[in-house]
Order: sequence, then structure tokens, then C-alpha cells
Amino acid sequence: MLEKANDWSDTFYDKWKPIAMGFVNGAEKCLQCGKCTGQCPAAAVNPSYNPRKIIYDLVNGNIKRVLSSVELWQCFFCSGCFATCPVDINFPFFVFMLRLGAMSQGFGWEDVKQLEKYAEKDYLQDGITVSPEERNPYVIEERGDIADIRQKAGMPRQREVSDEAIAEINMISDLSGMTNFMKKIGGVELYDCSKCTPKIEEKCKSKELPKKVGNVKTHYRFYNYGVPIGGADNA
Amino acid sequence: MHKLDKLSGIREEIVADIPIPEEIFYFQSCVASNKYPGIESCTLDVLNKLGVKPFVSEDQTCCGGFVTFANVAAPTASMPAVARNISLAEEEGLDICAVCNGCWTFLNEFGHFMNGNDEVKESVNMMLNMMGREYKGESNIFHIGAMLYKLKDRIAENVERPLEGLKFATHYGCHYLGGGKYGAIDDAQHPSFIQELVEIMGGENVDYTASGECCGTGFTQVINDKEKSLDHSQMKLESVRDEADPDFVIVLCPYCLSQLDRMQQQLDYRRDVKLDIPIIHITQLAGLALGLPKERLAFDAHIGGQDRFKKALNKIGIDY
Repeated sequence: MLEKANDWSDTFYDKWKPIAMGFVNGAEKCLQCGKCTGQCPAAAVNPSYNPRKIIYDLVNGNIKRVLSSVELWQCFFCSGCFATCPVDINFPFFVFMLRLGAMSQGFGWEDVKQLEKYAEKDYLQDGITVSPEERNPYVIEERGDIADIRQKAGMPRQREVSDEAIAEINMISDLSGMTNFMKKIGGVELYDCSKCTPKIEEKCKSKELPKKVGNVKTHYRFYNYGVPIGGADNA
Repeated sequence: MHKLDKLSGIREEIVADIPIPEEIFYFQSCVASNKYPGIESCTLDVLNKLGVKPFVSEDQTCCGGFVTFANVAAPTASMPAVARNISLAEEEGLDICAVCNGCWTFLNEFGHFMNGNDEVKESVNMMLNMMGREYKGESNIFHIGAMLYKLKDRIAENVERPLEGLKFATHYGCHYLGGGKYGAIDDAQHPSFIQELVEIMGGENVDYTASGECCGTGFTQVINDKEKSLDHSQMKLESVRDEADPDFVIVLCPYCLSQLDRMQQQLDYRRDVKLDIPIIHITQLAGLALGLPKERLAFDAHIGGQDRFKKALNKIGIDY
């Protein structure tokens, strides 16, 4: 599905629309009114994040700037932009598909890697993505075991998903290539930050960048849409 | 509080289309089951009390929304998983009731997409036929908030514990009103149906500036970029504390509940921001008014606002 996304020409958007399975269309309708950016919670805490500019670049063929940006990975998926958009552009789906496109170009794998465990350890093993296991020691101390609370409420100590159901979602995962994909991002080798040059450091995301995620090489991402200042004061 | 009748953007035609069934497929949510069991027990009890029998299936898995929007599963992988879950309800001939905004949007959006796209539906069914299932696209998906609004007359008849003297603020969350702006029962910018339910149950509504803002989870941002996520939650929660000072904040989505509740402790620990705000789900609100026992409400699982919980619940005669 993503092979065709390798083409970075200015007709990228036209070619890429059918690949995205019809979820995303109508970017060319964009009025550049900026309502999306005005109400955006992600833009409130990351001032360089700008949905309007991303759509502008997408339609005008400046796709490399979008795919190699850090900003693409800052969307909150709140759908506020879709709710407020006068021409009904479903921007969160654009971000979703653009992230897949960015991954096909080798960007952003380190972020996906952090989330892969929820699919592998929870979704495919228990059939439930959020596990009852608690990592925060404060919560364990204060609230105790969630199974006890369930029991007190007269429910079974744990929600059970039948073995058959788990086998079925694993089968779906195997057949659709999701399992293969997860194997691909199996192991992470962390990037050695001591080798970093000041120029890269300036633009680098603050946390350590893995250079290689499983079998996939990741590239640096850049703040392509401005200086990443701001934070709580701007919210 | 604003005059509700003037501002109401509730879409009566969509509300009128919601059937009142005798039985409904209760779509279990991950967060509700494993972090806030009160949502699950209250949903079952509230639906039973209002004359709708919930049907629970052990074959139902997570909706798959998280792994999809975390880009671990491509739409080609999550589409069959969605179809599989919906087909479980179709086998029983039931409609689906989701308690989570995420589940609702994801099932609705992908379900609609398959219904309007025969090619995709066919390939999905090819996969499902291998495990002896079939997706037909017959079941409708309703949000529990919409169901409760539809059943508001029955709620009014059954209020056993009027919520007099309590102040309620609301947080509607993004993916019901915003993500599903054509399927939801209310306007995305000025929603008011929870306020109406609160009034029916005898409570008082309070408003605050950031009521329409996202909770701050940002789907995966809470994992990938926690500081930014905290920034946003702090802004939201401080607005609640300073402007509304409610006894409860009502949310439609367990994932919002988890964020707004758990981040209170994180904000205290990391930034020394003191917040004491009880966050509850809309089914727990209904459970309160319909007189469910405190074990079934299961407020023990909530982390933030325990002192406030005690005060507020004592006010309406629950020994907490």
C-alpha cells in the first residue's frame, strides 16, 4: 500500500489519494482560513505545529517538508480541526496517512516503536489494549489492586476475553501483515548521542534518537515549521 | 450558566432515530474494564434499571483504535478487526452501545467506510469467512451518552437519589462530538445534552472557559511527549479548579477520565500543582442518581479528588 509513496514529486497528493483508501480527500478544497490552527490544542503547546501549513505543503507538492518534520508527529488526534473546518477536511486522517508515508521514507519509527509494545504485549495477547497492570507506585499504594475493586463491585476479578477471540485477532494480524510489521521494528539500537554534531543537536528532538529500529533505519526529523518554543505559558 | 434552551444545538432528528431496544450489545472498553471498573458496573446496572438489557460477549476484543492511530496497525489490519467485533452484535441481531468516544468513532467511521465501499467489504469478508464470521453492516453503533439522553424520561421517573446541592462541570471529549460531527446528537462547539441530564437529576451546572478543550492525552502524545501533554492537562484542570470549582466533572470517555484523573497526581508530583477534582463518567453520574450502592459506583479506583469525593457523596447521603 505504501510502495507508491516513494514518489516525492509535486503530483504526490493526486497519486497518493487512492492509496489512502479513500479516507482522505478534499485537501485541495482548503481555504487556508486557519480555523484548524486557531483551535488546535497541539498548536497551543507546540507553537511551530501548524495544520494549515501542512495542508498547504501537501497540496502544493512540498511533501518532503511535511514527511521529514517533527511537527507531523505532534498532532493530538482530537478532531477539533475537522469539527471546525468549513469545508469538512478530515485533517486527523491526513496526519494518520501522512505518518504512514513518513514511515515509508524512514522517519518517525522511534515514536512508533514506543507504542508497538501495547499492540504486541496487550492487544494481541489479551485482546485488551490497556492492561490492568499499574506502573505508578503511588497509585498501587493508594488505591490497591484493581482486581479487588472489581471483586467488591461484584464483578469477576479480571475481564476475560475468550481464547477463540484472541486467536482470531492474531489470525487477522498475521494475514494483514501487522505481525510482520511488528517483527520489523522488533529491536531498538539507541543512537549514540556523543557522535552528534552541534548543528544536528540544535534541531534534534530533546530525547535520545534511536538510529536503528529493528530492521529499519530511522532518519533525523526536523522542526520544519519554525522554532519550537513555548509550552505551558502559551497554552 | 447559559440559558440552555437558547443555546441548545441538540439534533432532534438524530435523537428521534435512536431506537429504544429491549436488548443492546454492550461494547466493553479497555480503560473501563481495567482501570475504572465502576464505568462497567454502572453501565450494566443503569441500562438494566432503564429497561434495556445489556448483552455482554467474551468474544469481543478491543476496538483496535489505539494500535491503529499509533500507526502499528495499518487500516488494512484494523478494518477486519472492527468488522469482526461488529459481526458479533449482528449475529445476535443487536445494535451496539459504546461507552468510550474512541470505540464509538472508530467502529462508526470504519463501519461506515466499509458499508460505502464494496471492494473493501468483500476483502474484509474474505478474511472473516476463514474464521466463520461475516460482516453485513446491519448494526448501528450508539454512544451511551446518546442512549441516556434518549432515555431521559425513564431516568426522570427513576431518580432515587436527587443530586441536590451538587455542582457539575462537563467535559465532552473530542471524538464523539468532533470526530463524529454528523453522527453525534449534539453540536460540536456548544454541546448541552449532559447539562440537560444533570438538570433532570437535580444537580446544578457550572461552566468554565476551557470546557471545550481536549483533555490533553493527545492519543499517543501522553506516551511520546509527556511534558506537552501535561501542559495541556494542567491548563484545563486549573481552569476547572479556579473558575468552576465543581463537585464532579462529568466526562463521556474513559480515556479522558483516565487522563484528567491520573494527571492530577502527576501534576502534584512533578510541578507541585494542587488539584482536588473528582472526575466521573456519565454512567457513574446516572448510577449516582438512580441510587446504585457505592460498591457498584466504585469510586475507589479514582485517584484524584478523593477528599472532595468524600464531601460530595456525604452531602447526598452516601457514607463514603
